[in-house]
Amino acid sequence: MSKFDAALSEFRSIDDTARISGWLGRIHPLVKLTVTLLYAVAVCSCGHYDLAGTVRMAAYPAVLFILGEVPFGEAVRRLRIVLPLVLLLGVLEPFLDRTPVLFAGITMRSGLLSGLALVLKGLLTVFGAYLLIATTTIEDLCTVLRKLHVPKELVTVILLIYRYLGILLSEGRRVWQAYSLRAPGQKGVAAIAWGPLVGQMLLRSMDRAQRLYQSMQLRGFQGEFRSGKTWKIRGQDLIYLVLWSGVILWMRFFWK
Amino acid sequence: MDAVLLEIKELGFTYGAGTPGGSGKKALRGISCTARAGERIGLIGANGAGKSTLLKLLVGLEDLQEGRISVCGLPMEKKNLPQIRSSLGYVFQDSDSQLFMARVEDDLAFAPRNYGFSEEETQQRVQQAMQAVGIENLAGRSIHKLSGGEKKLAAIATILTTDPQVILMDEPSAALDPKNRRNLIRVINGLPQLKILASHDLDFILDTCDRVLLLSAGQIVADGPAREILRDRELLEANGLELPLSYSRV
Repeated sequence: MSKFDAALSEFRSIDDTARISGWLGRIHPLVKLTVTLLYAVAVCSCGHYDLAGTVRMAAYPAVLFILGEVPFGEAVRRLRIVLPLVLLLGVLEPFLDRTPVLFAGITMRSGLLSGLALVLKGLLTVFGAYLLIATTTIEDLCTVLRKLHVPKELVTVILLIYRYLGILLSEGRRVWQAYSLRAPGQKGVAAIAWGPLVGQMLLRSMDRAQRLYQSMQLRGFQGEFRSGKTWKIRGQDLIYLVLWSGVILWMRFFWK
Repeated sequence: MDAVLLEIKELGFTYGAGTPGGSGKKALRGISCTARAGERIGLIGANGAGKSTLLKLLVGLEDLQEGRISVCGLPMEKKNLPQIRSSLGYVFQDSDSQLFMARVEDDLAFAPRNYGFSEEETQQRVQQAMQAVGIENLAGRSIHKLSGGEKKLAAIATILTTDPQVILMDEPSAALDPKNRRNLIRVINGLPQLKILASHDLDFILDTCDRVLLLSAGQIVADGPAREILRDRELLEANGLELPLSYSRV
């Protein structure tokens, strides 16, 4: 399987996973979005050197990965491009902040402590967002964004970019297949071919995106996606919201 | 006599007309014809004859330059486009360019939702459209997991949800295996609407149409019963086509 095939299949599987994810998938998207945002704010508000407090915040994704039956290994695999960038967040801290501090009986540079806390905050926020995306379809998320009065232009752009990514990948796969069939045994793409290949990929994906847009126009699209789903907040959604909001606030302010 | 649903008068079209980098290639010239409810019309011609361009003009995907088009009594004008498009169904040659939602039922529900039908009616229309082409079993399937034949049927179903009076199809039989092709013929023949099928698969046209418009270099060179035109070897060969296999074997 080529890298494009793998990327395309992974991209599509995110959508498929979101549609079949069990009880967590049935929770109202607005509730999940609210809890995720609250969690992100709570994590980011942890003290600069509060590594222990930040570690405690890991309880939320840990519990959801287990109870929501969202495979953690799969999450790490899917986020493998983002995670190293998150790790880079705190890499300079130990060099910038050299004040010695005592942590868990060990004397270390305070920069190391803040660096670790920063990296952990990044990881937890990314996993929190992943849990939302892995259990909510893009259409449901966008429906909720519209309910929150996010401008329809912005929501439509998000949806179209999401769809365009799939098109870009599938056109990339075709171009790559055409190239590799005529360059057998060659590792990667020759430097001289990069320009035309990328150009072709963009032109073809834009052509296809245009045809898709025409297909939408022919079916009455006038700038706003209508999902047709009528989500109603049920008792279990309220329980989820109250419970997790309480737990997150408790973890942040009272768990010592 | 059945009502005239499509009326085309002196239609002409040039790609890139008026643009500095335009090719200036005349794709259509002097096209005039009418089509009535229930007719099954095959639009045939060699590559580049202007079939797809004509279909695109009929649904307003290309701007009108010369001549007039009226669809269901409405002149082709910007203000009429939403109404015209709701009474026309256009099936693209490449189904991947037509289907864009994640699942089949979502794609089918796209048009009725945009036209403001209630969710209950939308679901009813989705069910009816799926039944009409026999894909009820595909409702919850991901589009990318469908075969080529299934995608084609899903693409046809997407246009049936608005109950169009006119169905336009661009190369409907392209890239289909014999079984799916046969199934598609059965489905198309079961649709009561006015149909215009653009294709150079003349056997397919013979199986699905009773009137043929032969296009060559952007002009209609023949308009008549399918069985007469598709049997005329001289006419077909003069316009870059060949007899359908079912006639050439005789």
